[in-house]
Amino acid sequence: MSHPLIFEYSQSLAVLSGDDFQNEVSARLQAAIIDFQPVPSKPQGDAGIDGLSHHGERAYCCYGPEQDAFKTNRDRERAIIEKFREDLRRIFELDFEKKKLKHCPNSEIKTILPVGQKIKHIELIANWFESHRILSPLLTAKAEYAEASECRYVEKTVTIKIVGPNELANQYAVDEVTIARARQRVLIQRVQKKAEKVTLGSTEKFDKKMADLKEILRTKDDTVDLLRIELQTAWRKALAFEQELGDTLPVMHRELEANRSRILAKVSMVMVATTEPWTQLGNATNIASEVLRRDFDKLCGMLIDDVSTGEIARLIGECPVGWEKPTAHE
Amino acid sequence: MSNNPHPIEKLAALLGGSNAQPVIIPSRLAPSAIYDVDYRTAIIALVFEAFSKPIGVGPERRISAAKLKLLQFVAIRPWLLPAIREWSEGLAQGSLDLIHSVRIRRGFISDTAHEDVMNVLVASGIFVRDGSHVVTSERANYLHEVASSTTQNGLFENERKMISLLASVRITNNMLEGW
Repeated sequence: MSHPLIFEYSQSLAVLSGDDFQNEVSARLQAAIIDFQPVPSKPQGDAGIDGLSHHGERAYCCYGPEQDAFKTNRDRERAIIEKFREDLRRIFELDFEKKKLKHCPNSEIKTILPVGQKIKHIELIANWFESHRILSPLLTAKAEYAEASECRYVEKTVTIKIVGPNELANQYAVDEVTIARARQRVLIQRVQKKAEKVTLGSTEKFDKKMADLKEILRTKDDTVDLLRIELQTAWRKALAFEQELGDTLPVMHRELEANRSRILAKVSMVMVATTEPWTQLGNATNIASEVLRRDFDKLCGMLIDDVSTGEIARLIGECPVGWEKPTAHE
Repeated sequence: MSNNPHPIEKLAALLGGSNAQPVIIPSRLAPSAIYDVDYRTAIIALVFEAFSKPIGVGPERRISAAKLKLLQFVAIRPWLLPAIREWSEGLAQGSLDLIHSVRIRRGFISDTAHEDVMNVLVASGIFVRDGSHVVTSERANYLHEVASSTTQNGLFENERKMISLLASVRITNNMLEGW
């Protein structure tokens, strides 16, 4: 049995997926390896490499598929093998043409590696590594690709290693910062997933507001329709956050409840006290963020901006803040 | 990094260019039902009616305080049913923050709102505390009236449905230990 912190961290890595997983791996490696360099994937793509270290001698590729994206572990194995084979082919500058490997220049890789440097070791990091059956296909693919490649950016003798959550958790020390960061990421992912399932209750008054807005603005129906979806999405996220706190941290739920009143009081005050209320509404998210950060920064600092937007959307959706058409004499 | 398109700023810009009149009604802020004493009392009454056991031949009934706390916690959170089933059927307690058992346990243990309502019910002579159990007291009939009235008037349908579903979940001693 491993140390509880290591076990928890390993479990956190295993439940994270997509960008959340990649960002956590990147943060972990940055903390442990002095020259770890993440490779941004936008705007030109990451050339198959998510990070580099040791002056460009080591490359890192990440893959964190959704946990429920596969019906069986066999499907999961296949997906991991296919994704990493694809990354390796890009690094080796290869692609299939009529089922045969052909040279396929990777124009971005030279803009990432130091001039003259070739990769000597590649770590393939996945959020699931519970089957040895991914080893042989990947090791074989590497040997095959090394043989077929011109090896402009990678040594023919390059080594690869497959790393799963357990290996990554054990590889370097797990400290409180690492655990706190992982917990935040897991919480964020849970709130995002919950938000997709949240059903908004009574929306008649919100619908009326949006209908009024269309009438007021007249020619901007599409913009209002889009905005309505965005507001409801943010509203759902606030409700999901509240639900998550209510389920797991009722004391913090009580704090959130108190903070909601504070946010409304502050937003109301600034809107009422000005001749430009709508300018102040634009600033409402910052007000909410400032209020929430006091109690929730440590728990979920990375989520506060989204929750703040959601709380203001909720105030609009649940009625305290709204608008109406101008009266006839105006 | 959030990809949120900041809809509030977009809305403010749209309204700023219009002649819309602001309407602010702070009293319309809907408080969470979780802090509503009447609501919580009704849920406790329904859970108590469904799960308490008679003591001897008298009219008194009792229930483990921990069991009552856990059941009412889940009764108002129907989405936790699959998790509590998994917890009931699972053997491993798992680690810290991730496993359902730990997350639900952390949630219901720190449900101080329930304790507040229980204190009111004890002070009102509806319950008495008896070690790890709560037992009906001289005004327990009130609890029965609340439960009956809630059912007769068709109130809290989701919660009542959830309570009947919870009857099929085995609440083990393991689930109630350690707090």
